[in-house]
Amino acid sequence: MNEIENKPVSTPALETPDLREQIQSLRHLVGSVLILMVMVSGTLTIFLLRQMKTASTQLDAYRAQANNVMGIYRQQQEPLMLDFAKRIQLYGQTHPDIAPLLAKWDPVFTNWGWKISAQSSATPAGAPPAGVAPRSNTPSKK
Amino acid sequence: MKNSPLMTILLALLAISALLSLYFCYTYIRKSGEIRQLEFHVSEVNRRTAGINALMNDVIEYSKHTPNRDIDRLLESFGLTNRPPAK
Repeated sequence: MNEIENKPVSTPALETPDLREQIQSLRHLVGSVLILMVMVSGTLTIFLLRQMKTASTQLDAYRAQANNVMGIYRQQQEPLMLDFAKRIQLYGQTHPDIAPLLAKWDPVFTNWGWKISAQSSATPAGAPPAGVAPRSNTPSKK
Repeated sequence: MKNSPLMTILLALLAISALLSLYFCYTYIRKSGEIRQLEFHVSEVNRRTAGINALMNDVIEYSKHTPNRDIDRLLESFGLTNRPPAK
């Protein structure tokens, strides 16, 4: 029993020339697959590099334009737009006939994040916007 | 079993290429996202400008149907008028 258990496993098959040939061809196959994978991966890397460069160029060009547009909007347009909206709201306090129009636009202003409260605005309806010289008040005529 | 140096070189190349691909892909996605974000902000500005123009047109129309001095003054203070341009 012991002799049988301790007997080293003979591997005659590993030494056959047929198996050596198979191992050799498998090595060639793995090498070929690796070369192909390196080529595919390299192509993908070059493609992604080009995409990244294009995106980078676009971003640099667009960032300058966008910052310009947003800067003008924040510094010049938005205060005027907000002022106009506030003064229309104030006007609506004394002229209820504009209420349907204001009701139409209120959700839009809320959507834009503008908190327009006619009471909170110090500018009376009919007064000029910021930066515009005040005019003499005349009574309203209907 | 001996490893051939060619296999090692190929594996190293493959690993480098894969890592570079990941980096480029990540950078591309980040930059594209930034472009989209800027585009969104600009389109928001354009949308608001168009919106306030529409509101101004509505107020001008209102002032045509309901003429009164207050609304005329309000419009004039913003450089708007409900009168047709002089010929």
